[in-house]
Amino acid sequence: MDKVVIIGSGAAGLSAAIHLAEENVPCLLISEMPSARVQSNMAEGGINAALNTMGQDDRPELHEAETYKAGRFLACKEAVHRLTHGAPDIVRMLYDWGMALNITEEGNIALRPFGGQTRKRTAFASASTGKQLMYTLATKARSYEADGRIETRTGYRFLQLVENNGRAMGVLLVSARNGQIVYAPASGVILASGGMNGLFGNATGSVLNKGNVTASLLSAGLPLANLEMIQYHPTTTRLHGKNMLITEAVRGEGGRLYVEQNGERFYFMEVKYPELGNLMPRDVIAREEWQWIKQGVQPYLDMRDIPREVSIHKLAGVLEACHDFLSLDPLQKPIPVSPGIHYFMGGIYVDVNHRTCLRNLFAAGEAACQYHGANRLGGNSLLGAMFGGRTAADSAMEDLSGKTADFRPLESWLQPSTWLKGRKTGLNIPAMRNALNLLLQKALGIERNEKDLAQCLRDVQELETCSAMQYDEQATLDENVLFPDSFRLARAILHSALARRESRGAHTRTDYPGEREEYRKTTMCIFHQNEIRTTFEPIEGD
Amino acid sequence: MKIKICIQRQDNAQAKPYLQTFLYEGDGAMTLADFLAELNAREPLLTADGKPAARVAFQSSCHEKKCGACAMLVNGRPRLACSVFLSGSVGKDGTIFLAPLGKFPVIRDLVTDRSKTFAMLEKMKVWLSKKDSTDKSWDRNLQYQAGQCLACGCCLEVCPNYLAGKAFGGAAAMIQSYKVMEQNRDDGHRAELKEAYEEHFFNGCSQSLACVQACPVKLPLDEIQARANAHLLKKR
Repeated sequence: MDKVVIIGSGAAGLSAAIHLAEENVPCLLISEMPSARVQSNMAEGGINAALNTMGQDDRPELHEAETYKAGRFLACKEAVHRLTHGAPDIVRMLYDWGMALNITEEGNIALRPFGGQTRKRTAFASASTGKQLMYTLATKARSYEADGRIETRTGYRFLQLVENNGRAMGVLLVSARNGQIVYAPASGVILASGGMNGLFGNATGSVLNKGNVTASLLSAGLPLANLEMIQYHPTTTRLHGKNMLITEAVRGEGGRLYVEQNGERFYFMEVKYPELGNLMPRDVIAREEWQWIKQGVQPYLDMRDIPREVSIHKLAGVLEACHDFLSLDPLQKPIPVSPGIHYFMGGIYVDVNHRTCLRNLFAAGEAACQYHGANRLGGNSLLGAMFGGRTAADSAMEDLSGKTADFRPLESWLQPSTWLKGRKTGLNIPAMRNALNLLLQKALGIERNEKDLAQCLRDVQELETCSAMQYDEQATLDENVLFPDSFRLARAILHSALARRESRGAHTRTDYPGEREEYRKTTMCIFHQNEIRTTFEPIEGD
Repeated sequence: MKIKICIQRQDNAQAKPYLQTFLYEGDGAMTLADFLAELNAREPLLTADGKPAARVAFQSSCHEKKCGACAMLVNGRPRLACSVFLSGSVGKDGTIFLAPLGKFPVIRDLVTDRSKTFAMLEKMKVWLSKKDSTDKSWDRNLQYQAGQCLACGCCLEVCPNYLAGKAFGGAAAMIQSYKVMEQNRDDGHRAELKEAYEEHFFNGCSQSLACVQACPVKLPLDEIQARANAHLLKKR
């Protein structure tokens, strides 16, 4: 019998699992922690769909054009077309599944304004859209778990994809509880393992998303795309270990960005961009803020012009987070903000149908490179995860062979000792990861240049050499096996950033300002014979 | 400030627990979750009396009070380690005491197995057969609040009636049942839900309301329970 294995139980993974279950295709959903704990729960502001409930004559065509433009024309046009035209059905479906979306007085799904969009298009559940969406998906999935169509295996981590003759055959997993290796045979594998937060250490998302699956695939020779496109969200605030997001919804509801100049508030976005002001796309605002921060000037996000009722009812989560983590009441004082890593537009290369370059292997959500080009619109990530998960499931179903492959990996692969053979003790992965984080944070900031990127590449290679053939006695098997791949992934990002000699979307090169048409291409990275090969390929469908 | 962090440790489910103390020096403006992550990256990792120690196993994901992963006992009370600052939780003797939640089996150190919480929801069939689209009397705000439950287990930890794996599901099961009882159309599935709610919550709750105090995101569990009970008792 066919069985699809899904890695990751966030919005993309659950969306894929539910869609498979709807079509009576069984799946195995693998996750380190229950879906209530994963990064998708952290999404705040909303999910975009041209539902046109606010009397603004919105249409999917407009959503499509604005998504494509905000991505600086680097996304696959056909993929964006399908995403934006599929969006209204996705949001209505979530509402029918019980999601507690905010509604208008007339009883329609309410929409709020979000950055880079000329219409109110972002459906939302106060400032906890991701949490409410995940709750809805988990509730929906539960009925299929009960009848066996979805088998959820929590407490397992990805170790390696198993392939044979150019096909994905299954996945090796490690039990977090006892370290045992198990093999999950699959007639299709959907990777929904999230972004690459672990390389940077201070991203706004979950610390679970280390990027290990992506790094492992790179090492296995699969192409990754647009890795240099890393979104800095303009309104994050510093916590000790990582940055915390202040949702774009604050600006959607009227929050204003300013800096103090000669004792006066200077609303830099409103002055420079009168049309969209504080709701310009994220890459633009992040760059503008950076110009001030470089001079030692602190930007603030001011909620005091938002009607009090609106803040309390629609932005309650923001007020609470500021109170809990910053000891600050945004109704009284402005929030000090700075740009922070929030989303990886690039990732595992997939085509418009979410097929990777390996047969039977699919990727969706933040793990995949699809939809967002060089810069993602706020509200398009939950949408991309939902729509991408369902599309990947459709493709997996199209490619089903009728039975799960009877291929079995070598018995020795199930023995933990096999994986660390020839390696010596002495590595401290948490400390080494911190060192890698600091290097990448510095070179892959909002502004980049050849000198710093090249130096970082040398430093990463040095770290990689230092830790080669070592392992960490206290780390789990999967960490020991996959951590070395992080260096390769870091190198791939750096090579991508070096190769793209232009400034586009989230990628700003101070030595190559401005977009160049010859770079309106997909950056592809392949690992081959210990080298990263970077090429620019035509965007699918161009 | 100098703080001693005393951690109840356990090498595996079968092993005996033991205590280990670690030192922190700084301004205390750091959460316990960040402290544990920082502790685990120390090289070498030493106890307060200078002996080598193994890294401390704990679960965390969001570090922003949005996922419930890092629930543990802080000075004997269930808290989310990501939202408790060192300076705010240190006792007069300069010590913070950390232990795993006591109502759930320990996997290792501060990591417990809370899977029974989710298994109960499946047992109670907490899902929608079909949403009732005609009923406009719903309290959408309360439904939203119910959807904010982190399933962290703090409410169960303090509940005098809850024991993991037994028939009573506690507030974690109640809050999820409420939302589907309210949203589901009036059909056979809803009748089953009501029966399950009666068996796994209504009959077992002694109304101590300790859960209301313990909820780290301050959900109105009393109000939600009242509404859930009304759904159960209506049209009987």
